[in-house]
Formats: sequence, structure tokens, C-alpha cells
Amino acid sequence: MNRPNLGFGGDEDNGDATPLTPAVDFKPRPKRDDLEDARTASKLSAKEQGFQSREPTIHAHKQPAPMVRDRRKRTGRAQSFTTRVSPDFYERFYAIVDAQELSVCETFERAILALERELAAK
Amino acid sequence: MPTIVFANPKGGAGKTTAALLLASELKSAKADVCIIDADPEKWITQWGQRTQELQIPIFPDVREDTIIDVIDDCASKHAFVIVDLEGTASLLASDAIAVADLVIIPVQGSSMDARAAARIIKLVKNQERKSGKSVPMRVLMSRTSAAVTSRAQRDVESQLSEANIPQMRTAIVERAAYREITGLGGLLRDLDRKEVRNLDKAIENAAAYATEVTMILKEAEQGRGQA
Repeated sequence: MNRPNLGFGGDEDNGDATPLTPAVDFKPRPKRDDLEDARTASKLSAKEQGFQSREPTIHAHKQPAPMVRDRRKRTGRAQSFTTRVSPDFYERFYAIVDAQELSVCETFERAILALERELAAK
Repeated sequence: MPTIVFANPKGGAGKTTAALLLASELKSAKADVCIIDADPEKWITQWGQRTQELQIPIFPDVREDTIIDVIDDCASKHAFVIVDLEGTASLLASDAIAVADLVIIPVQGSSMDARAAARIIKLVKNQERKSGKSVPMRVLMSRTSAAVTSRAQRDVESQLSEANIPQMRTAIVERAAYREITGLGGLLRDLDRKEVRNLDKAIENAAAYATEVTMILKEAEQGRGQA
């Protein structure tokens, strides 16, 4: 199908190389008093034609999420410690752990404190 | 006074180039021009940062709830207000069009651009029905080849013609100079002829385009005066 060429393609068809029309006739104008009408027309037309808001929505009414209290006990016990012991001391150590209902760590700490007291007393 | 809005919900249609060329040519003619850069890419704002000595006020911070007031304020202070819109079908674009004195719809010779342009055309017509006020609009063929007219471009042009959509006589030809001004800053006429290929052809094209825009604005102003 042959479509008519309206002739916008070539240089020679791009209008006259005349100097720019003097733009002095245009001046600032007073502020408009019909901006609300423009806003209304814009909103109605935008909705009908699928022109949507592209700005992020701010949920001003939304309550901030409540702070979740962190119930984990912070002990500062971050350093791991491994050693080899004889079966006898192994059994005796865990016997204290079980009898006193202490953790391995607490048992170790109390053993150190007791040793420090003993050394200090000498 | 006139507010010229460049709109096409498809990116890359040539809105920013067309807006910049008009601003450049008007400024070369010593006109009082300001630009509202509503494109999130902020090409014109970046151009302005390289072009501060030219004293073209550029307003980059506009939102849906402010653009109408910003345009009105600019139009009360400057002879020409140029608005470069983002390449999306947004409420912000609709708001800018609602207070435009001329809507220019750049279209490359492709069906995708033309379909996107059709959305703006329908929006303008819808707004005219709602407000009862005429909003002049023109389709501007952009990034056309200096050598040949493509079949796709001819198709777009003829379909616009069949639908009685007004088109600008002048097309923006793809020129190296138009890419240079965005990178280098400054006005088209201030580019170095030794460094920019076919600068005279580019100026000739831009002058014809800007002249046609001012004539359309003049006719619209006279039409309003008679109404």
C-alpha cells in the first residue's frame, strides 16, 4: 500500500532557514485564577485515560510497627574454648554440672574463680 | 507567557532534544526562557549545570502536587515556559498538559512511538471536553533521517493525517550537533563549527522548528484574543 509522503524527511523539506522569529511579543502573564478547574479536569481525564500516579505513596495514617523486645540474654561469652582432658576429670566436671544444674560455661567460670581465690590466699 | 509541554509516554521519543533545541533557539533570540525538568533522568538539569552562564532558570523539583503551581508561577515571571515530561503515562504529565498553551508530541517514525503518542492525543482531547478549553497540540516527527524517509515514518505521518491530528511542518533531523549540546552544555549556535559536523544544517533545522513553534503560539494567542 502506497502511503503519501508528506515530506518531512529530507533537509530541503525542513522549512526555511529563516532567522528565529523575534520572541519579544511574548511576555509573562498574570497568575491564572482557574487552576482548580485545570486540576479537576486533569484528574478526571487522567483516570479515564489510564494516566496514573507514579509517585511513591506515603502512608501517613499507618501506625509504626511496635518494637519487638529482644529477650535474648547477652552474656558476652563469645570466645570458644576447647581442650583435651582425661576421662576421670571429664566425668567429675560433668558430675558438678549436673548436680548444681549449671551450664558448662558457668561451671568453668566458677572453677576459675575458686582457683584465683586459692592462689590469692597463698 | 506561553507554556510549551513536551509529552510522549514512551521514552526516547525525542522530548528532551526537542525541548532543549527550542530553549536554545529562543535564548539565542534573547528571549526570557525557563525550563521545568520533570523528567526523572534530569538531562536538562545536567545540561543546565554546564550552562549556568546563560542564565536559563531550570526547575528540577516538581511533583504531582506542585507542578501546576510551579508552571503558573513560572509563566507569571518568564516569557516562555518549557516543560520536559517523563516518558510515562503519569498524573504529573496530565497536570502539566492541563495548563499548557501548546502540547508538542515528539514521535519517531515507529509504530511504538505513534501508539504512545495516541495516548497523549486522547488525553488532550479528553481534557478539552472536561474543561471546555482548547489545548493546541502538534505532533513533531523527531530523529528523522537527513537522507531518506522511512516507510514506517511515512505510515505514521499518513495515519496522523487521516486522523486529522495536526503535525508540525518541520521535523527534527537526527544530527550530531543535537547530541553534542547535551554533553557539552551551551547553546546550539555556540558550538564549534570545526568540531561539530553539519552544524549549519542543524542550526537551520532548529531555527525552522523554533520559528514554527512561535508562529503556532502566536496563532493560538490571537485565537484566544478573538474568542
